[in-house]
Amino acid sequence: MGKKKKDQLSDTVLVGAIKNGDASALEEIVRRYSNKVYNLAFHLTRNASAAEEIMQDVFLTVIAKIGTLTNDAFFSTWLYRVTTNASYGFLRKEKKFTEQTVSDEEMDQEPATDYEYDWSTLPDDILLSEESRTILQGSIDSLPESMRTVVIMKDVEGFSNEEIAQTLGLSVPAVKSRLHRGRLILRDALSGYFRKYSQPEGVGA
Amino acid sequence: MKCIICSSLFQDYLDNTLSQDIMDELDHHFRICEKCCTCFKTYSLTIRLSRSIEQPCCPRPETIEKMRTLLIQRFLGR
Repeated sequence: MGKKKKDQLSDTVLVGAIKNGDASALEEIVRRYSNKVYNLAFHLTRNASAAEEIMQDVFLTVIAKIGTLTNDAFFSTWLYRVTTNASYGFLRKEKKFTEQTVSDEEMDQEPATDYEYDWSTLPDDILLSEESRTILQGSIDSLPESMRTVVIMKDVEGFSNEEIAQTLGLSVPAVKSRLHRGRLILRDALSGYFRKYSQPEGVGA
Repeated sequence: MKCIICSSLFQDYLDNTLSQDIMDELDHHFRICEKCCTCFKTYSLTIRLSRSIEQPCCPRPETIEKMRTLLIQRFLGR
């Protein structure tokens, strides 16, 4: 490898170096991705010690299987796929994973919505309260698995639609469809919760 | 524009991937349809709130160090 500092090298170059036995390239990949892998595993499993275990298993898989990666440019999406699979594996073991399949037809149906109350005008101390965050987290946890993973990757972790599609082996339209429906379900859950603020003080209490 | 079409375009509108014509049509629809306007505002805010529940979390430094040592041993021992 040239004189360029490791942290300036692309993933593709680092992956090639790892395949050639360069341990320092592996260290740079671990430094670059350990927090991302940990965070994704944590948000999927909601379990900090499981996320640490998964992170270690993921990088052990990198060592064992990096030789099978045919296109080094897809390293990060491959890494995230290994992470989501390991997280599902943990949830399956804990029996918290229910593969709720959602048909395309169901996916296209929009959930019943409550448009009447515009809660977007509520102040931040209500919108961002501990209680509303708990409601939202609970609603995310209750989403069917196929939507939950997409919503977590996009709206919580900030992945692009293309990265999610590659990671989960879906088309971009399928990612968008799951994301849209998941967001509508979450929005409805929040609408139900915030509705209590739609009434004037003292009314209906 | 029908309300159901409007709703299906929320994502692309937020991602700024629509043509200007469609964006203008949507903006017009939001001005005349209070229902869709409210729906869009709460949809956008739901995304913002989802983003805000992310707790900055990272693995413990000792875990990282232990893992780093294990990985290098495994890697060099292949």
